[in-house]
Amino acid sequence: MSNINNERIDETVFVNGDPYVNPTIQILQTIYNLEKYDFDKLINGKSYLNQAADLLYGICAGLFINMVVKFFGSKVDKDIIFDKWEVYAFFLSLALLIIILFFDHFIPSKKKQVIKKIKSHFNI
Amino acid sequence: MMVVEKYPANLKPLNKLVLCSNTFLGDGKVLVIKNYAPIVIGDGIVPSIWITVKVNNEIIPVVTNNKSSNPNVKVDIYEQLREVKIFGDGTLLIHAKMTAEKECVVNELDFRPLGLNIHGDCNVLNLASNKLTNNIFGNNDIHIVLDN
Repeated sequence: MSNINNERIDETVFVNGDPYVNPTIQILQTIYNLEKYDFDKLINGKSYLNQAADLLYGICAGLFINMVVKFFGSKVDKDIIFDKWEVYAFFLSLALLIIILFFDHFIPSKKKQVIKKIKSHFNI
Repeated sequence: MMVVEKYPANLKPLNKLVLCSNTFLGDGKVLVIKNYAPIVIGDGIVPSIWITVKVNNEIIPVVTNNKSSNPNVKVDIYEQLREVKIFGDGTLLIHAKMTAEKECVVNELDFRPLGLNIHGDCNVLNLASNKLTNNIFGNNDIHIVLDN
């Protein structure tokens, strides 16, 4: 704690102390007014590429499980045949997914626009 | 060099600000807490006021150039008297008045409702537990830094 009285000061003064007390007013960030149009775009505004990517996630996961199970299964049970194409299929779908995600990153969509608008509002 | 975030870019600086008995000369930043300026006053027909607080490590503008962005904070402008009064939930937060060209005086200040331990009257400026009375701050980039 310091008292500074009747002085002429020509440089930056550093004073110590806790600047904060409990506020009695609720400090809110400015509310973002989400309109129905924007909300709809958030829910349904995905680009076609993004929808295709969603589908490919599922395909990739399915092929991966199929590949792993068949590989280990073939070691245990001679009746299960593990084919090379199952590995190719998995990697092909994975490559396709990566390509689609890459392009989707650069292609604008309504959903991205709305998210960008909200982010800039909140300075995120 | 201190970095002051969200400092108003379009501020028209004052030549002289009398804030609770202390005189600040020049266009420097009156008060800085770590990396933001809670109170900024600029020139205009009435004083142009910016109030900024920090909540949860986020710097939030409450009043921007006499426009409140908080529903609980009201800005009253009296152009003929060249005065601005800002109220928070009915409590006077600041009363600023232009006394001459580029000169402004603040004799009532209370930011405690906003959660900042900054308050004063025409005799003393309280910054946390520090008391500043009748000082003259010369031309400087930043006049006061408050930090714990």
